[in-house]
Amino acid sequence: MNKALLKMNTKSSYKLWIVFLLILLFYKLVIIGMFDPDNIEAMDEFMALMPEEFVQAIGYQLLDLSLTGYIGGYFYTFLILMFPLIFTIMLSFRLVGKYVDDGSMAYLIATPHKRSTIIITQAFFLLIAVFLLFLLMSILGLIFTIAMFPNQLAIGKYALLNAGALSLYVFIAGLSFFCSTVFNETKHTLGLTIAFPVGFLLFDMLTDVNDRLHFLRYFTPYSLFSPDKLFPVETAFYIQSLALILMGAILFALAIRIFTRKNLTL
Amino acid sequence: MIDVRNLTKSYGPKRGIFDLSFFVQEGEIFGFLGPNGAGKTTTIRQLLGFIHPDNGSAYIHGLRVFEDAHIIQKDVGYIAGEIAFFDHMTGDEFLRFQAEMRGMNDFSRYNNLIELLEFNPKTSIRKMSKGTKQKLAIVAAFMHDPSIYILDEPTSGLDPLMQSKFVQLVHKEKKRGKTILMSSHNFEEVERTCDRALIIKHGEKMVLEDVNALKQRQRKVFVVHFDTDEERRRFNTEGFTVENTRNNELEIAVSGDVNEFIKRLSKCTLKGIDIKKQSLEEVFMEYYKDDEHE
Repeated sequence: MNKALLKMNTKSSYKLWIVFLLILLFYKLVIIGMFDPDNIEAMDEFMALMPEEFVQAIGYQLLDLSLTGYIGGYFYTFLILMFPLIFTIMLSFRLVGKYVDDGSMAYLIATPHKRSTIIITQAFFLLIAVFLLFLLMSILGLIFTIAMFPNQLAIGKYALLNAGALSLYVFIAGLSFFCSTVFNETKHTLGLTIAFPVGFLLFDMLTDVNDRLHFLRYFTPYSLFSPDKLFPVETAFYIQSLALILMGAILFALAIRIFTRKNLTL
Repeated sequence: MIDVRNLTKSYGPKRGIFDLSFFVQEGEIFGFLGPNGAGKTTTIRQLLGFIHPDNGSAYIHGLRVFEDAHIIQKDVGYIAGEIAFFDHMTGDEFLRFQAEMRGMNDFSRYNNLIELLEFNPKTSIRKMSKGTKQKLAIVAAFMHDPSIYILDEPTSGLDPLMQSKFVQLVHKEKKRGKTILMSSHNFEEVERTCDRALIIKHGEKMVLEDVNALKQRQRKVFVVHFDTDEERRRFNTEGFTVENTRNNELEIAVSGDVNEFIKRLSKCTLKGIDIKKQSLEEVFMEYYKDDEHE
């Protein structure tokens, strides 16, 4: 791990991080604020006004009639896939792909540090940034929810929701880091760093639109994060979350290994 | 010091480098000369450990350039051929970041270099001109006082005044015992700066020779403007090659010693005299024409 590089990353990325935290919080707080304990189906009625396919594509559904089920269904389905995904892709590209692309990676590699140190530092920074994004979003969301609806939130389940979403993002971070790191054709790096994570998202959306497309869920790892398996809690939820973390770890390990050995045209 | 053995990296026919070997001695300024696309940058990238060779090997201080790059780097100052910095920083932020990456604490050279190059480090890198960026790259390569410099076209983008300041800087480093490898596509620059020069073309070694010897063999073309046509006719061209005659103007090629030429010129009245800039290709061509004659 390289301290100077961590510091430099922080300076160059903290604004991006704050913007995405604010966007996430905005949506989360609006959704929580719209919760009406006396008329739990109100949101469903509101959603019924929209085209059916659209609602299905973004996966909105009431998971159960509690506040936790409401948050799980409306925030931890589509929105959680959307904004942190953009953040993760952008940050992955900034940390490696961009520097290789424009040649400034030379000023990281041509220093008395191993390539592995440099790339592990970047991977670590990406994971920490994603982790802190989820941590703050979870805690601030929790405080807000408790303040608005005391004693209604199942805190254990809420924590599991966030932990599951975070494990999904360990995978997504691994995937976008891998894409940003290993492709040699520099002009393709950005394209692929976007194409894979977003492609899986589209698969994930199509899965829910139509029964005939349901098989697509086997082609997108994102479907391994399924909040509906928390209402009620199933063991599969834990297993699938662990699988996501494992796949993410493998992608990170591969990215580091490949980057350490590959030709860099700087 | 820098030991390149049979290095090959092919990017297609005549692109890349092919079976290149040379040795840079400690304390010398080694010029690496060739037209654009000759393979200079490809060689330098391998010395920095950025790319693997297809064949052959290279060592710096006896260490393998790819595997031991992080050890070699403690003692190397590098200027890239195509420089890119981290745009979001100012020059000063960038240099301090590099200093931190290198564990450098003594900023006296940093300050001296900034003063020497008249460089304002407080500007944002994004707003810097090409020449200013080149100065930044020079400061970054020299400030940590390495013992080996690997410089890929270090003067590109600098104005002539800065170029000669840079040459002085390089000479000063040589006096301090440093080893310098610098690439260039400019014959004059290598002539002014280097002790020995390696000339490559299409990735293959053409000549590796003492710069003084190269100079001796090089022909220079002088464009002489005589005061009048008569003056021109009065000039004795015996022993020189006249390349072109135009009214009161002569283009005369002189190889080796110029003293006789100057002596004869001093007898005539001139309007002016120029040295015709020769492209590297022309220098090569002449060099090999001479070779064939022998």
